[in-house]
Amino acid sequence: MRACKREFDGTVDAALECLSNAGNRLTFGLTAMLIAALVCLNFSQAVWAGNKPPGEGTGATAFAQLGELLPTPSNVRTAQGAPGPEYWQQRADYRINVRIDDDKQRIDGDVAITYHNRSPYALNYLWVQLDQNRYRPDSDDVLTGRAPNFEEFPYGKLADLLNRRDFDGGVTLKSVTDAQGNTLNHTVVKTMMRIDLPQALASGDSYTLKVAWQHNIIDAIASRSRGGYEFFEKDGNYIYEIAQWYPRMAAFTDVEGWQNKQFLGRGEFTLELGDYEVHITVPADHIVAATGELQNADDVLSSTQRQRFNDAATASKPVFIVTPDEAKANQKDDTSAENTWIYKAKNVRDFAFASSRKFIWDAWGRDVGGRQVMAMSYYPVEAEPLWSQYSTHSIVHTIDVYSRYTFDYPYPVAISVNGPIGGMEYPMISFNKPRPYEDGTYWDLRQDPKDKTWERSKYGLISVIIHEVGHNYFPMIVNSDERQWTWMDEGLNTFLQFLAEQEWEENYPSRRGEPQDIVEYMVSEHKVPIMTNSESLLQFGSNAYAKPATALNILRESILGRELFDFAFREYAQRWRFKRPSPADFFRTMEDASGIDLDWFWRGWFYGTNHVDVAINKVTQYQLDTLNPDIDKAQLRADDEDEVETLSKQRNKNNEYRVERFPELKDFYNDFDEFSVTPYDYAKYQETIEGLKDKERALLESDHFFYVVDFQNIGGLTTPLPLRLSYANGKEELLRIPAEIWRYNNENVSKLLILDEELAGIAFDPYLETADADVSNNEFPRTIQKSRFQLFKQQEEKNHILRAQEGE
Amino acid sequence: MSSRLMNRTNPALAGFVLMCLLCVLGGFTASAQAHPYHESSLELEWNAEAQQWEASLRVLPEDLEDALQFQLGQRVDLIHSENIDQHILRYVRKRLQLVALDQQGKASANQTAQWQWQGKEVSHKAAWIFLTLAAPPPPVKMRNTLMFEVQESQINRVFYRVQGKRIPFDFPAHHGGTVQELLPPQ
Ligand SMILES: [Zn+2]
Repeated sequence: MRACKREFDGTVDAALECLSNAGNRLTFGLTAMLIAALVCLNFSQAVWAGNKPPGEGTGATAFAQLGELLPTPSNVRTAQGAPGPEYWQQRADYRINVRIDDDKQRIDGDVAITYHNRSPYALNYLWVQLDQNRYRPDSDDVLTGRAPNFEEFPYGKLADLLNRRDFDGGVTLKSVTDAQGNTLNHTVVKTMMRIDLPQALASGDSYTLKVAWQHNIIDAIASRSRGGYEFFEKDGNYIYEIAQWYPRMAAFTDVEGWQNKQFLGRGEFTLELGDYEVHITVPADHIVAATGELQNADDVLSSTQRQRFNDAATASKPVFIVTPDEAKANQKDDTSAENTWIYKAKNVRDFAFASSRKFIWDAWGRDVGGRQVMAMSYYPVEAEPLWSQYSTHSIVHTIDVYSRYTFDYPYPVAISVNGPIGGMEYPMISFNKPRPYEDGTYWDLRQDPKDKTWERSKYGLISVIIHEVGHNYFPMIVNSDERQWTWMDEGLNTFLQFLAEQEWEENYPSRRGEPQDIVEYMVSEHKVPIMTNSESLLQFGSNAYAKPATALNILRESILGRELFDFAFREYAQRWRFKRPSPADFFRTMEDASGIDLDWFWRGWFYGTNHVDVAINKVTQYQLDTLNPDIDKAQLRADDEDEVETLSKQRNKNNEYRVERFPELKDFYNDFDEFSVTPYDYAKYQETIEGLKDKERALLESDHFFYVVDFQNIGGLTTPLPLRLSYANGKEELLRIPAEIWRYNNENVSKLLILDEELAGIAFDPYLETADADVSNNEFPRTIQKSRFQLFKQQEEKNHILRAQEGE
Repeated sequence: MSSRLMNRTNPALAGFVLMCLLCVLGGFTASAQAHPYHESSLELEWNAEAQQWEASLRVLPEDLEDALQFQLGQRVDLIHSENIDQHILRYVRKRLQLVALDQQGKASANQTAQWQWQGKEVSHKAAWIFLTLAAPPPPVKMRNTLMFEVQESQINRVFYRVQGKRIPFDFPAHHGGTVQELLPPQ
């Protein structure tokens, strides 16, 4: 057997050279022969050339089970990644009275918390969170803030710090008592408060404590906080978006015990689920939006408003409950009278609300899994005309899409409020900042749907609403611990946000989700694994939002496929709805429900900082001998004639050879033409053909092409290999090779392709699905990648031509 | 206090400047939750034939608007504001510089030419600014402090196209990585 081998080194101008390997004559049975010939060739070449691909054995590390990185499974959290038979979580119910002082921008409140100890342990003390203490001038958040880069005059940071220095923030506790009004021993520890119980709270028992307090509301725009007020100079009115505002039970869990990470500002919340009844007292001309359902519409809404609300429940599009004209009229006056709005919410982990006399209010009832959900938006006239067109629709769209990938939205309302907060989520209610572009503060008539600034406002708004309403699923209902792991809610939510955006309209301009959009972060210097605590993350947004979202998109599209992924992801959401998952529960469920070991994937994407960069370094073609002596010997002769005549041979041409001078020295072989076909060759051929099995004979008679493609994993992150094969006849074919091809060697791997057609080219990741960082080494033959500047110039030239043609 | 801010201005004046900035700040600065990444990306190549640097700068439109608002003291948008292209160019010239390296690898004091405007494209997803610079030719040192004054989490990524490669450099506001040599692949 002789194999003809063509090597391509991958350069654009590589000559397609056919190297004869006449020396490698092997005489095995055909099937064995074919494999053996290839292996032997490669083997001998590797040994003699000394270029055995490095990295043998690195696959073992890349594909090692997560093992000790994950907590030991138990009856609380099982090896499947599900809550076990002994799973438990605490519960806290709240009854709150709160009053907004519209003159002093202050909150006065009292709360009765009934805490249910469902853990197997007795508790001597309870921890309560006082998040507003973050705004004390001596808080850890302020004290541990790193110095800004003064060389660069950091206006934003300095303004922030000055504002924080001047703000009289923090909680003033007026009383901390038991249900009977007896004062409880308590110790404030920064943003938390320990309450020492008179006697231990036994497993299964409940305890009621009461706290009365006061705090100043922060200027949300100056402080960039998650709640606060916005002041409108032109009309003297405020919008209040109130959050992290009442004493909240700290979480007590099987994973962490008492939550003991103080609130520094970035790591958001870890909270217990419970039922709420909240009485909110505000100026009588305010409209209040809140977590939960309004209980006393008769007291606070006009009969017209109540009628509109009822109409909205069954309308075919959003209906105004407070119209823009009514809101404009409302914001002209002030009142000293007050109203109390009563809201109830069941099975939520938090409660937030918004209040203003500036609010326009629209609503739209939707059926979700046989239950009615009111999607509602509250916004000032400054948010128009954008908000009435897109906000409530965006809420409904989010619920439609997210429910499909997880579970039916379980709450009765879903709300989007426009105010000073850039974008922040709470159960049933979210705060979203984008407004139309404007010259002054008021409605800007320039707004034009064809205008680029309009486009930006529109997509900015839709995206942020999808994101914040989407947070109802993660972490409001799938109640992960944000203080520990930002990615568990932000990453999963940003992933679903991408899916929802792509269902809004064709080519929706999603900022995150597509693999190519994460590449720049993946090759950057200052980065840490996704599996890093929330407060220590570098490049926060890329690390905890974009990277996990993109990883899940890749897992869905390129590794598991949509069907398997969607099944497993839904299983995770359903297992953990109204429960508290940890990272291991997510990793384990995705494997358990998909039937695919993904430890290599979690290891690479969530525990590592490598990036994807695969190069096609070499393509080698092997041809089979036909065994037919007429064909093979002619080929051998051609190969022989192709061989280089050495300088010595050329100069020896005129030698007077001894065998010519003494003919008796010649024998049979001196005259024998080794490439002539002899009767022996025919007989041997016949014998071989007859000796072949049918399958082998078919293989021999068919025209197969054998290629060995050498891949190098330059970036280090393990990836599947989606390949596009382009054939000489113009046809194309997509071939997907699973990532497990790297399991022995994570640095270099060769793949044999047996093809019916001759190859003209081969490309790795032709549809940009792997986040490969350097596409210039993805194709064979190599193609030149244009710079963005060159593309812009080309486009510009094209536009000039078009304009010139239009001018004619 | 040895910061440049305090060196150059008396404390009373600094206070005044910051007060004004606070007014400007109100209304624009995106909250950390909605838009938690502040990144720009610059692709840069020396065109030996044309003897010029060719650059495409990608920014999040609202980040650049914030930066210009600080500088101009008034609201701007990247499409409609008067003379917006000149404002962008002036801003880039101030915060993105290339200086020559001599044979000892020492940087010269000044950039010898100015960035020239080639065009821009603005969409929701990104704003692209296209620029050229006639000198100095490579090797160069880059100073990149685009939008460092707005967000302390700003990170500017630079991709230097050279010898068929695209070499990444990071200029993060927080780590003070403002100046780097753009070296070809080793
Ligand atoms: Zn979020």
